Amino acid sequence: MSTIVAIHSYRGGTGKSNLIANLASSIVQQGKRVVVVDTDIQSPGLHVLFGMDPQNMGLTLNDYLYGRCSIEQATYDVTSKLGPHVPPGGALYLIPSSIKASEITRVLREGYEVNLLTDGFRKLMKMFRLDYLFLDTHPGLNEETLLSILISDTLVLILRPDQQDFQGTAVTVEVARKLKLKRLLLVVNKVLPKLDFESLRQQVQEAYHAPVAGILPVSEEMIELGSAGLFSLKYPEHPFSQGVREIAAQILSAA
Amino acid sequence: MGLFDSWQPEQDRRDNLPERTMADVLALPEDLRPSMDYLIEQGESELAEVAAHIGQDETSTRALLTDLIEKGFVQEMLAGSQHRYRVRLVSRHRSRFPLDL
Repeated sequence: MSTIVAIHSYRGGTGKSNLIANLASSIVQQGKRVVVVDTDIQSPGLHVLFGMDPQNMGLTLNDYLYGRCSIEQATYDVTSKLGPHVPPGGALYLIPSSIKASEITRVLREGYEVNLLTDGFRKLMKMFRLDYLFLDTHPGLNEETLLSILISDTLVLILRPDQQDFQGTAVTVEVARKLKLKRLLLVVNKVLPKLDFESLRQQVQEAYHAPVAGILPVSEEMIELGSAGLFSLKYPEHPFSQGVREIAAQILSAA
Repeated sequence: MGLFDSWQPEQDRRDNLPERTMADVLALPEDLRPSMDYLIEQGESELAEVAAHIGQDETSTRALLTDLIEKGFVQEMLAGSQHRYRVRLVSRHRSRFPLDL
């Protein structure tokens, strides 16, 4: 049975897409079958992390939602991006969203039928025999992210050690609990290495009454990489990559 | 008066129900949420499946589903002889956002 994991943050710039790409990669390295869906249709970016050229992207989630293709036709096998050492059985697929202005404005104007999206997810889980379906979401509370929260088995909320993020995450946690959230994990990202990580973990857990799955450091290497690839592949022993593996282990242990 | 004429006003009323979004789901009364949440996850279901999931008898469940249909959240379909219930949600309300920027 597939597990749906939604990655969300109240504000933009928390590192959501980088985390989801590296987290999915880490889980595939355990021999799992994973699809990542970029449901951030308003500001898509996951395709960049997997080296897909937006001008030559082909079919996207937008095409599926507007009846131009099947969900599997918009699904791309990106396992080769993880290097040669993926264990047998492991596979990573990506469903990108379109970065064309006309496609984005169409969604903003017309929306789409929710059933189409959830029908697509169910078909994916069956067709690709998925262990995990990861959903990258648009930041902030809106109708689309409410859906991702409701259908997910695990919600990973990312925040930075920043007062705006702290306040906004409190609102998101409150709304998520009204949606009868099944499991919540918090991740604090872009933390200055000089801070006391354990003390920060305790504070955040007490503030939101939810477990902190990881505290990830801010790093110059990540800023230099600039979403040009998967950080955990390039810097496997970096504290960020180690932190991602710890978060992955907690997601795997709940399945 | 034709056979279906008496049904038409009700059909017209149901066809003109407002579009519903997840924000509307959040505002639903608590007693309607379990069936609504289940239908969102499943896409569509039969009465017996919804009743089993929410732990109520089929008569009570049908009343809840009828309420959701009346409010525009769910549509009822006939598949052969089976009544199935399917979620009727959109991702957002249509806006005047210009197509050409």
